[in-house]
Amino acid sequence: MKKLWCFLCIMPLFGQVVASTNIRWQDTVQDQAVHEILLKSRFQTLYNKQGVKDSVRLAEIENLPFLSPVHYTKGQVAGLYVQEANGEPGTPKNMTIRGLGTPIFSQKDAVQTQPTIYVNGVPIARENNFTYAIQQYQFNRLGPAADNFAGIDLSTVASIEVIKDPVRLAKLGPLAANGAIWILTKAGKEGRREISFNSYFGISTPPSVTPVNAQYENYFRQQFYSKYGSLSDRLTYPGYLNDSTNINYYGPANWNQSYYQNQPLYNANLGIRGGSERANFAFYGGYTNNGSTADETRFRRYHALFNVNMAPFEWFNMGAVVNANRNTRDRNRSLRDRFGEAAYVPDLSVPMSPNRNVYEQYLDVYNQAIDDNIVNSGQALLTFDVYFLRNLKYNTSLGIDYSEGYRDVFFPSSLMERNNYMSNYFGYSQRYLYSNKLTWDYDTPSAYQVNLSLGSIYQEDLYRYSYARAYDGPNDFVKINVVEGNSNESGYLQPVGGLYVSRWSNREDYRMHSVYLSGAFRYKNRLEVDALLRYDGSSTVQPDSRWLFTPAVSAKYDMIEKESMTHGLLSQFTIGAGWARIGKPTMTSRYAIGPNYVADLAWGSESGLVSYNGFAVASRPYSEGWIGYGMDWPYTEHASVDLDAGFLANRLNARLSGYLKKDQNQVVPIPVPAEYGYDSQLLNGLSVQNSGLELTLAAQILTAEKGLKWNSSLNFNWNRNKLTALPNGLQELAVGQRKLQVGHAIDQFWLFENKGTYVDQVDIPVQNGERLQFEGVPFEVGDPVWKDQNGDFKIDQDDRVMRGHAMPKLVGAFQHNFSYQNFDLAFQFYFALGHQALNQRASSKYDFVNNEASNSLAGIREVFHWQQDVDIRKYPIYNPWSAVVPYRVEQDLFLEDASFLKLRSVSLSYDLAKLSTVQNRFKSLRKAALFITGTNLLTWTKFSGGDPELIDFDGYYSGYGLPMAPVTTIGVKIEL
Amino acid sequence: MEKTLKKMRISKAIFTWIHVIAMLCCTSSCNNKLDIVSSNAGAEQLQWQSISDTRAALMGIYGLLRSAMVDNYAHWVYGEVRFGDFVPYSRADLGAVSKNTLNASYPIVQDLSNWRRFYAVVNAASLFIERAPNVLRIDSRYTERDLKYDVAQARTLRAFAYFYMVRIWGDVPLLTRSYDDGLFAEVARTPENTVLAFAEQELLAAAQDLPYVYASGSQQYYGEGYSTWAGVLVNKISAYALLAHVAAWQGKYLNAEIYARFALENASSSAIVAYSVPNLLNSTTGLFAPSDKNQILALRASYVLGEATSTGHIESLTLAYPLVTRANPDIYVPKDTINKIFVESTDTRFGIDTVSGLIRTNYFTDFNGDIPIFSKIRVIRDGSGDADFSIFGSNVVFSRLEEMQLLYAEINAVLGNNDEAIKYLNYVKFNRGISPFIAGFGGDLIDEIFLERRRELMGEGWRWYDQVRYARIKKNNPILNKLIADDGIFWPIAADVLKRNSKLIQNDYWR
Repeated sequence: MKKLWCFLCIMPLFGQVVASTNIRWQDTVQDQAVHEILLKSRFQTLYNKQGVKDSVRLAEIENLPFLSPVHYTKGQVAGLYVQEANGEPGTPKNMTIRGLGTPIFSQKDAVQTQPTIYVNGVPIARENNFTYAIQQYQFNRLGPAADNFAGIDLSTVASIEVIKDPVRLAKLGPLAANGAIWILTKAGKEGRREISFNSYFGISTPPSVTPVNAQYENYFRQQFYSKYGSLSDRLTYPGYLNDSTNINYYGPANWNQSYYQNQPLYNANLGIRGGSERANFAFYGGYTNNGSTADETRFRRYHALFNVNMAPFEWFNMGAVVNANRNTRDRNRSLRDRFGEAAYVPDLSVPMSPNRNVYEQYLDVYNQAIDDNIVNSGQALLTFDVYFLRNLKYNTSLGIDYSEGYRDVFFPSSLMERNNYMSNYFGYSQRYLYSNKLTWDYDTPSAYQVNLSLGSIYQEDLYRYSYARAYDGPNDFVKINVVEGNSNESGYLQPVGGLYVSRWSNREDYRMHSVYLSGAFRYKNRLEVDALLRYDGSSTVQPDSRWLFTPAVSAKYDMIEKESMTHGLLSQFTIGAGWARIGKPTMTSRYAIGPNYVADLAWGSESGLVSYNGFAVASRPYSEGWIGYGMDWPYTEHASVDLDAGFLANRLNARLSGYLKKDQNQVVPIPVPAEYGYDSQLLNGLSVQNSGLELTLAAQILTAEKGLKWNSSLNFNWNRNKLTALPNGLQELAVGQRKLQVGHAIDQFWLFENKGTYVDQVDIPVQNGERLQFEGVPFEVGDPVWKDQNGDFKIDQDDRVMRGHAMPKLVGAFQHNFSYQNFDLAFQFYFALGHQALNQRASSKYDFVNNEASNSLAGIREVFHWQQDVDIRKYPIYNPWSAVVPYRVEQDLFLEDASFLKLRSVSLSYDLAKLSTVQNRFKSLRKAALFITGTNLLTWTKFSGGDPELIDFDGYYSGYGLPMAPVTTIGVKIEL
Repeated sequence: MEKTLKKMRISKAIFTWIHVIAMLCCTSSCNNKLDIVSSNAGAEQLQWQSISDTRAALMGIYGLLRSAMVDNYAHWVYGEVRFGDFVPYSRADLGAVSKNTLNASYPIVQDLSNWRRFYAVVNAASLFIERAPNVLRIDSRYTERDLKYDVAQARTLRAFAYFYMVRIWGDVPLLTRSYDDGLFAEVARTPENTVLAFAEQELLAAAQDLPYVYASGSQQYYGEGYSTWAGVLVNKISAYALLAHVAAWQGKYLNAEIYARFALENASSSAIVAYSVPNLLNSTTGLFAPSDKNQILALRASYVLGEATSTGHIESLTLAYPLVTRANPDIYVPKDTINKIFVESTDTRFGIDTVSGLIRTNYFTDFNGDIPIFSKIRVIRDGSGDADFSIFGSNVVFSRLEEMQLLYAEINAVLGNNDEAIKYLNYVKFNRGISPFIAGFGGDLIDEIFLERRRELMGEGWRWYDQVRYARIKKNNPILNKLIADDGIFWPIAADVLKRNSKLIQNDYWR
């Protein structure tokens, strides 16, 4: 096997040697006129556009105030599901292409299922999730926790394609195993200099909420106290509710006037491009400032794109692109996120007041705090095309992606119950790819064409972070954590001011080498066959199984000859099918080394310990799970059948794809007997199958030259997933609060089925003189009725059933574009149907007894909890003190339909440049549009807890997602 | 023209050849480039090579034991909350433990029925015993003496983990090897007597090898001097004290007498001494503080070394305003109980100061408030910390000299050596400033010894086990008699543990 890949590596070299001897022949048969055309076409292929039909219609979204490719692509392409779990600008969002390939047990697993975004062919590295290992609270990733893709400004984008085709993904390799989004930035252009200027200004407007004060909360709780509370329960009734004369709690509830405010957002960018046939350039730069209406959260970005292309010789073309940006975030000020960052839980028994004045006093204190979040990132590509022969091209390129994040935090003592806190994070992800590719086209006037490519890619990733946390500084004026720098002092390198400092750092490496051979065969422009063979070697797979061989093949046939295209109802009809196997990369090096040793000092509520008695420790990874030898590559198999039909001279285009995606041999923790100390054993063998149908309909309904034009499109994806295998032939596996069962979907909830309340003693079933028990505790009056599914007269984990789906069954969008003379009007509707959410917010509100007694972050009362965000008519009154924990979230009582339809955007623009008076005066003006847009306008849903989109990827609605508030913008777009 | 063409040709050839060479260099080294050294975890071939590996592995066992004992406040919930003097303020989950509803579905109760963390200690210790001799061959800095001490510690810790588990679950599977092969065969439960016999045999063997002190005089242990190790590692006295407890738990008081006597007679060789209450409880220099005081068996969490934490210490359960900022403690000893237990006002632990007339605050703060705060152990940060930042650095003290003296008194009282029993009981009583026990005057001797344990060891995780031993001796408590008879003194085995091993059977009482 090793010999084979070596051979594959050497092959292109051989080609080069042969080629260099042929130079003489090539150079003598050229002719000036041919040169120019040739050069032009060669320049155009310097950056490879994939040429798929599933691309984003940039004209429809270019005026909208979007920040990230995640927003740009949402609803644009069938099969791509984008979920914004948080309206806070600049936070990570979730995407999947053609369904979930890996179960989501916690938020950090979401990164495993995301497609990769390529900018000019450079895959953007996602932040490695290894920081979660030291995070006691995993609400956010450590550091700036920013959207990795927010560095790509829409004004710099030339095209966005969503790649789902198996063979195309296989050509991109393991990084594209979950699908790919292929972005090309605007490239230099020969000819007259083009200048563009865009700008918008907008306002984000507060949502309407119903604030409440302690009176409401008191009424809410009294119903439990009067029905079930004992005397001692009454004695420990929370103090802030006890005193109805306390103006802070029983006074006006108007916190929302400070918390939600109109916030401006704006953007301006300028671009210029031009050049000659031998060299051209493009430069774009701009600034974006985007505020959310809630909690003064804000995102700012500077971006710059620079591109130069040159052709010193006809046989030698080169290009360089640098896309760089710097962004900063003002994050939310929720208590949960703050104490989560500080990994310190102070006394939470007294909540924030619902009163605006008190809240503003708190915000004044907050002004002393520092919370700087900075991300600098960029992608660079340097690419060279060398034409040995007219049809033999050698490409070599170096792609670099770099992203660094800083977070500096200082919370004054008044925010942290007299104990100030500071932390500093610096982390980076660095990736480079060195690729070489030799392409040979056999292009004859005869009926067939052949294209062969041979290439190799070497990729090196480095992920690092260092983090320090310090508590209890001397005062609130010293806001940084420094050490004594003078080596003559006794406290050399000791923290100044008696701070309690903990430090962590870690690194993770990933390297991959791939060699591939691909071929394409075309017959009479009607039949197209593509095939690929590749070897991928990864540093995170054990040496004896490091190399994975994966093939891919596809074929496409045009049923209607090009000549007869315009006749009849059917103007075009293509049938295609493809299949590919692609390795799935693992981003942790632990699997590669087999049995290993780690520092296993953590316990349930403490995860950051690194020593015992000051000494480093090493033990088997008891908590993380045993890793044996024989860990292998996980891989995915994509298959699809595609129909593409055009009707009525292509005024109506319909594309239908059926797909099957199998993510095989993935690693999952499997329980082992506890008597060896291990929590689990990590094994390959989890397989998930996604199947679905995608439909895209695009119609030009009205095409009048002078009158009203109306284009419409509809796309949707129907998807379902199924677990097909578990390691060791297991049939089911419970991981935390999730259960995986072979044959069932992986996004199902595992719940008790609620059947009402035990109102009276006689309602409680009795068998052999014993009452029905919940895990050994007899049910009492006031407890919920949970169905005994297996009829064994006890309620336990075996009585939980699989219910609902966290992922929608049907996702899609439809859009309309109207244009009449100089006016353009566009709408986008977005919908997701057939999924459910577990309303954790409601559960925590009702389970106040357990949440507040344990003084954990689950019982935190945020200022925005002083509103009617839970529909209290929906839930029965149980005894909240009961040992069966009646309001546990894992029951179908809290399961709700989360389907929704949204009017996502409306935009209206008017192009002045088309006016003849303007045209006469400014000859060079190509476009001068004024536009007005609105986003996040309307939502239709049955969900009781606010916006159904603000749900964590695992289907839990925590109520912490900031709202996606309606935004109105006005702007101009000028092209000269 | 011809010339430029030629130049072009040459540069093209050069370009090509440069690439040929570059690619050759790259591909030939590629497979090697894919070998990376993980920074997250140590590979098998890098471990057990040097003296620093044995130190890391040994400290790892202690670290795992610390995690096992403090996760979910296990040591105190097992020992002090179940039928204990401590009652929860408002936590329903701890209330369930207090009322012996050990199968309640609260996460903490479920987690406390899981023995995995103790078996991690067992596995790590077995692995150490098997692999450490390898280092002796490879690294000349690692001496026979080091190996002897280290293996003896690993054996002691493994025996301790088994003893701890038997007290909680009764019969537990006995694994005496690490089986470090990834096969994970299912093993059934072994009768508790067999397990304890194994523990006893291991402790006896380890006791022969363990020193009284590490790095005494000019000697060094792992390159560090006496003060680094004092009170940190298990020593010969620890092994004998454990032996005494293992025997006493089984009711083998004759054996227990021999072991306890050895521990007491030789305690001074390990610099283990008795302390007055202020010295014992001093938050910076006392026995619970990160001092270098020797003790029989304790686990460290030193603030100075960065191991102080906000959870996993009894302070997180018991302290409240004004000592820390939180309003109410999780558990507290009600006033009635305090008044019932501490009967003599001269008691330096809790009593009334005869000079100032004030209530002594060694054990309790704010006794006159609604909820007395149990502040016997309050090591905030390094012990001198204020209420601002409540992380705690106290030691988990399993046994100290006073505990051993009272155990010895108990043993002798059971064996009928009343004079010896009274002598040791009165050592403690004298030290605490209360009147001595005089035979024939102060009621029942055994009652009095257990009452003294209740006072002296409050908050140290002994109360539940003392009640069981007391009930076994006296058989005068119908509730406990029934629990003992039905094996209800044990905890249920977690459902998760049962599911992982089909050979395990739930404790009868909880079935």
